[in-house]
Amino acid sequence: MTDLLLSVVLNGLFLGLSLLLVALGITLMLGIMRIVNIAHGEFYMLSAMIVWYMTASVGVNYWLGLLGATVIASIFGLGLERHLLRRYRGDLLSGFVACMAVIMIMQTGASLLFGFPPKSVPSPFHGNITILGTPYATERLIVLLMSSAIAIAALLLVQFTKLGRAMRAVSQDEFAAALQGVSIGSICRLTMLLGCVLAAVAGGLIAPIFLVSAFMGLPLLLKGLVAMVIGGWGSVEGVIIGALFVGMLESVLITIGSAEIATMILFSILIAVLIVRPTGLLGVEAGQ
Amino acid sequence: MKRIVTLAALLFLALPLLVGACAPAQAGEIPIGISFPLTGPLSAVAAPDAKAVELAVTKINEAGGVRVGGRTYKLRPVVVDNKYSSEGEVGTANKLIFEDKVKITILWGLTLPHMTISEPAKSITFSGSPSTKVYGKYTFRILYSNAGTGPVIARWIKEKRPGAKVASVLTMEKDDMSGRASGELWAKTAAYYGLKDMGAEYLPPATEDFYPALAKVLPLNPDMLMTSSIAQYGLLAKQARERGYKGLIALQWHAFPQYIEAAGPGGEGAISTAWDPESELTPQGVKDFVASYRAAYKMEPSTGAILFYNGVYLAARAMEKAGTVEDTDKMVKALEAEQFDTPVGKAWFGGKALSEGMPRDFTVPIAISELKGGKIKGLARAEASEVAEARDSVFGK
Amino acid sequence: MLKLGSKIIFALTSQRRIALLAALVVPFLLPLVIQGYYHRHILIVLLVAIVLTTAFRLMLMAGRLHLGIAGFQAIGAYTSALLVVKLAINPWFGMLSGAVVTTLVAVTLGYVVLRVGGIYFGLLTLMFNIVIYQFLIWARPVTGGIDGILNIPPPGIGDLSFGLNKVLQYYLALAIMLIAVFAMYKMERSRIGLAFQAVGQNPILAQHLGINLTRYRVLVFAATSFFIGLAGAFMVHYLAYTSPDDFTVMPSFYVVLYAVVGGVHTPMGAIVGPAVFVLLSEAFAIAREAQPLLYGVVLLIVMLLLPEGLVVLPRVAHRSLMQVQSFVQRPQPVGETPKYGSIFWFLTSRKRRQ
Repeated sequence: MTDLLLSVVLNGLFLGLSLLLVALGITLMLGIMRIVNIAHGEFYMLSAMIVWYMTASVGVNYWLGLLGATVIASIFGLGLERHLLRRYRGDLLSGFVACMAVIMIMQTGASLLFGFPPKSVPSPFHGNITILGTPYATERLIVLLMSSAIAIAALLLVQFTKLGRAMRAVSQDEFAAALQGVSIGSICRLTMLLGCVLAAVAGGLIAPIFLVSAFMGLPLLLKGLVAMVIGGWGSVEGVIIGALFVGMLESVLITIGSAEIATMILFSILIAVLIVRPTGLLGVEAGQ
Repeated sequence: MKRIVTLAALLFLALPLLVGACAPAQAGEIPIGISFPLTGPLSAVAAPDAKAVELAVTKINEAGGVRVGGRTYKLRPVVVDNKYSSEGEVGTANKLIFEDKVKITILWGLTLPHMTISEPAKSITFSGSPSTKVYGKYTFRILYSNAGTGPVIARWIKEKRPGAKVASVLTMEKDDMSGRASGELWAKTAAYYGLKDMGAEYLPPATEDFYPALAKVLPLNPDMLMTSSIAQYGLLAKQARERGYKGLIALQWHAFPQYIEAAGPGGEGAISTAWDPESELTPQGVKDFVASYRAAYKMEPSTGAILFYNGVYLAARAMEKAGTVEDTDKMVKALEAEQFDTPVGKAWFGGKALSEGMPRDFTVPIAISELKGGKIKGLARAEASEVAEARDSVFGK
Repeated sequence: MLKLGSKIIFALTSQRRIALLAALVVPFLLPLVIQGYYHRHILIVLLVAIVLTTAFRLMLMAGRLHLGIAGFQAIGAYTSALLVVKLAINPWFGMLSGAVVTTLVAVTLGYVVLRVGGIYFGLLTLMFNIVIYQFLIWARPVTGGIDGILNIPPPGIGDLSFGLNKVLQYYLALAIMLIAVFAMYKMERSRIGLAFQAVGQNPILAQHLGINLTRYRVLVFAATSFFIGLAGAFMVHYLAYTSPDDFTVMPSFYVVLYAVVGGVHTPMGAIVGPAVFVLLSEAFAIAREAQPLLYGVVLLIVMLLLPEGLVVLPRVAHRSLMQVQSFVQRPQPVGETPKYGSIFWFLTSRKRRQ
């Protein structure tokens, strides 16, 4: 029984943390850049693809590949912000459509560039370890630890640094923040950079565990949106709680029921949260 | 306002002009419909298989084409994107059957909406998915039949792996018609071979994280874990091993080698029905195909691609044996009665041998291979006659 | 008689009326011009897309971003299909009940969900779409799960079955489209539409004038849902098959693309958008796997050069032509700033900045 309980908890943690990094990026972008970046999952995909290309085709070390993927995805993201997303700040509908265009181009581009069939990335860690009598994969444990560390770092950055204060100020009241001398443009750029780095690291870390395909971004993004909505808009700790809640709920429901029930209940809870408290459990009022 | 209205009217008028230009069939050419989801999430697995079909068409043409009634015809591929939606499927079926006048379509997609058009029009469909019970007279399935793979694998394990001591089997299937049908077929197979069937766990088709499902099924401690429909088989094998599963893991399906090899070192010893191109057990036709596919497209073909490739040869041979390129009734008769020499080996229609409610499959040779050192290694080959015998012994004639 | 004749002559001589007449007559004559099952099928799909896009646009006018069109379509589709297949109800009645059930769902949800605005409503409807999709898969004993429902009988009049008769199906779709578009157009031009315009201009004043927005929104939501449900129900009887895979989030997203590409500011945009996409999908079919890439590029070009949608293309082209002319003749620039972006901005931008 304890064995089962521990597995459920570990699975839930993993599910939650694997979408946390992406959800963090979406929530920051929504709060600060005022755009629902549904193309955010594509950076996750791009990074995983580049990690695959570098390790399997070029033959670089996995960690070097991860670094390279993060850099490339970030440069790509900054370019996108500079030339496209910036125009649609606060424009929900046009921003959505522009992001759809980006999704179409990136998904198809990646398929044509890297090839259609799903790919597997050789894992840098092998073998199992035993946690309290429950066998568990080393690579998953490393991913768990790393994403927790990154999430905590992001939380600290947003809560306790000057940059974080400026970001929160922009998300709460843009006009007042500008009056205080905060450069809205550079905060937007930094947010985009942070979001891309988080998504790219997530993609690179997940790549060896699952398969890499050009279409892996959108499903994860939808789940990330759920985590964001349940936890709260534009609030880092809210998203952390939301993501862990989503992961745990899914793990429990799949184990006692089935995957469809899990997804259905999850999204229904989400609708309930949206109706009762549209800003999420811990959310601040984000710009509409 | 006026201009806008004019624009709309012009747009409507421009429609027929733009779409009206479609090439009529030339004499001496047989159009072959190739309807695959080339865009959207499923294109990741479907688009590479579509290329295998085109490769088959090219190879048949290079080898002289199709000889029917003293005349030689060339095959002309008509590739369409069915988008894996009912709407797209009906659209492409209409286009292939009524515009391009195809008599045989190789289909990867939603077979049921396609059938609503192709069956009344008496156009033959060679479908890749799903394995269903409602196929009409003109619809065949050209991929591995789970009615064949199950008994073959079960018999092979019993005879060649007695050390594995398999007494109980738990299956994990995807939650759709083909997965459910496979689960039912396997229950009969397990009963025949005296295995305890611990039931089936149904999962969404795109599952990649099997940990939650494994947390549910592993405490039951089955001797063998099997799937007949989960494409991400390698991940399942790897994750089961990571969770400390020690028993046998088997796949009876036509997956991508990438999918199987995703198991990595953890999936050592996992059994599958994939062809190993390097093994001498593999037929020369398959080896040739894999070599030319690699050369043409710089990637590895899936076992499904091999069977789709095989399907085009079946179509060509059926036309030759029926002695017609137009009369689909005669072709269906030939397909159901004759034996065909295909790249995979001798093949014939097997659906009729089974009781009603079985898919209209072809009996083709089946490979049995093992994952060794991260690569697929061939272990055995069951000829079509052996497959038929194993199948009939379980399900009856 | 003479009077009627002169009226007809007057109508024909007025250019505007000719255009209007053409716009109304051409769709009626199209199936005679366009032969072949495939192209008629494409036209039918286009007509349904126009209904959905118009509905989306009307919701947008009411200040709500509806991202779950396919979910509501699924309710209409499955209600009708299940009633007709399991209870052997007349398909006409099935289609109507599909639309009515969708409306009932919308009204029940409406009073609660329409309170939230902006992106919240968008996400809410998006999530609703996913719930419906998952429910259809999960409720296997009733809905048939992921495999869907087969052999859904087509509607018919007496012995005449619509079935594979694409011309009849086309006229049915056309009738649905004309009724839907006309009804929604009337709604936009009615007191309801005016109310939302007033709110757009001055929300506080509008509220003080006693405009009950929530009631109006529920009305709009109910009306759009009726037509979305009807479109869904029509489609399943036309295709004779339905599966949850037809109601993922992607079809919902495509409706948004249609609307924005056409232009959300005029009702015509909801017709131009889907029509352009249909033309593009025919033109891009040869690109095979690269199709979405081309769509994406076209979408970006439209978004960047014509943010108001393709509907303003004639106006912008006209303006640009004038600008090129004036650039050649070099007159003094006029003081007013153009309302719409010009595609020849590179010729004029420097001048405007001075």
